[in-house]
Amino acid sequence: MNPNISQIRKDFPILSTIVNEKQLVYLDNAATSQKPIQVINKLTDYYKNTNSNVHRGVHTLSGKATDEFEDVRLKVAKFINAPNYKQMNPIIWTRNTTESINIISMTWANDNLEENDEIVVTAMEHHSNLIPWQRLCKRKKAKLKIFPINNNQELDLKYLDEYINSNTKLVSIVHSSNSMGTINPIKTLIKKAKSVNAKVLIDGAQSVPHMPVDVTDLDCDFLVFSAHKMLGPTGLGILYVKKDILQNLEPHFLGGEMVLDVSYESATWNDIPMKFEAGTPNIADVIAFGSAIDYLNDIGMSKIREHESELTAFALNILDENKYLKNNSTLFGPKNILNRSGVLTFHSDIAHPHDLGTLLDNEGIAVRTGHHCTMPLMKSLGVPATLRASFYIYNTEEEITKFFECYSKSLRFFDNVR
Amino acid sequence: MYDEKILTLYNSIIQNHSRAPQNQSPINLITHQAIAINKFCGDEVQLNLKYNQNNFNISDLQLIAKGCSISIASSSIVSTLIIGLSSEKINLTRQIFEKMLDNQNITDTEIMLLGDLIYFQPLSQIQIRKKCSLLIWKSIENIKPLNPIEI
Repeated sequence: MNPNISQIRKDFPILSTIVNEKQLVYLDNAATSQKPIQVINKLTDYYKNTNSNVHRGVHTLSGKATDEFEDVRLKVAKFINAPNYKQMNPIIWTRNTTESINIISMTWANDNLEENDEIVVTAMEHHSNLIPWQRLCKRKKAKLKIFPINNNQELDLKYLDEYINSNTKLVSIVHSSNSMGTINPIKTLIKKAKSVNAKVLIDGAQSVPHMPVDVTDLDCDFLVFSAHKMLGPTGLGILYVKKDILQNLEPHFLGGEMVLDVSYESATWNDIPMKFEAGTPNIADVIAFGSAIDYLNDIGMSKIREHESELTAFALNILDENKYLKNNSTLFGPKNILNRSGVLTFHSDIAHPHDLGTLLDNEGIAVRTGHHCTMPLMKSLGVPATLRASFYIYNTEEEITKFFECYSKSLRFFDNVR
Repeated sequence: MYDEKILTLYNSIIQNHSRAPQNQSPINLITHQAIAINKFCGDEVQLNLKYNQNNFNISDLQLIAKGCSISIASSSIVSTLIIGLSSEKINLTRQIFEKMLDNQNITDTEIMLLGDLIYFQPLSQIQIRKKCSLLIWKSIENIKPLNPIEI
């Protein structure tokens, strides 16, 4: 049974917003998702009734805040099916996906990368999964290799043996591309990486919110994602680290909370995972994120993926039948629904995406225009920017129909004055 | 149809400037140069300038602009306005332009100085696109002398 979308939409107050005298159509979910009332209420409820610092207090509120905070850590570990998470919770709170990747580049990778070692990323990485490795490779005199993509912006797997080999120390790859909508065959890449003893980091910022992601099944070493793209609050990132690495991982940030014993000369670290979280953590947002996880679990991640695939198929069908759009607009990314997400990225020679985006905004439609933090990819495609519509659980076929009507209208508007 | 502000903003004059910007031809001597990049969207403006040695006004220029129609059209219009103007007059024009974008009242005399830049008035209601029209002015802030390059 499909999720009841009209019921779901009632949970998102912002979806009734009027923008430029039009009903909001929110199609900028790859940038950030909207928040259901359950998450908003949990956040305000925490500040009204539970607010207190975690872990150190002996008073009632501190105990309650600590319990709720740590319950969400368990919930998230279970959500991604982390192995044996009850014995050692492998979830580390960060500020966002970017910080999660940076921490690994400055800790595990910094400690393990040697001269002439190789790190493999793909040609479709977000800047956050490219620049930290550029700097590290320069410092270590290691090599950064960019796994090539084909004309449909999919990884070109004929290069698998060439790019992932005995020199490879780390494969750091995006699961689902934020700018092209490509879902990468990460199981194939992880298997290959394991065969050469390389570690694997999965950037799950665009996959964990939209489909089941199981780290036990994947056998990846690191998984990073952000709460705000999956109905949760902003300012909260997640770093999952596999147990064998986690046990030997050095903390990056030092200070309060992460210590067991301190003298004027030295300090010993707290237990995992607290030793990786120096200072007061983002308590309120973690607790509210728990409600986002509950919300997603109630619908079911497979159902969410199914719904978005149906919306994407619906969108591809409209495009296929619209001659004007077909002739005047290019859709990037895979044509096969099985390996594409609900991210649709367009380029047109008729007008710059920012101008089209302004016209769409005038109709109440929120899309993203720009390089989507994938500038090298944009350069390789020969476009300065693209227009991206991205779907989530609350989007409907009616909204997609409206998007295409308004997108065509904006193209015709500029086309007529050419 | 679109709002009045959209129709005013994307009128034929702005469209023409964005499709065929003025002052694209190379100039015979470059004494100064200015470059501005909008790091959020990647739009770029470059001005190659020739200054008059006597009155220190811009006597000739070449505009190289990449980006959205607002940034290209505003660059094109500004490029036509600043030739022969003193730096004080150029600054004054920018101030009036920014006053207009901030929805402040401007006098008829000030409107005369703005020329076709007046068509960007709707940007006072589209905050997010103001920066597109200001890119050319950012480049003008950063005009730097070059060792004269003869083409």
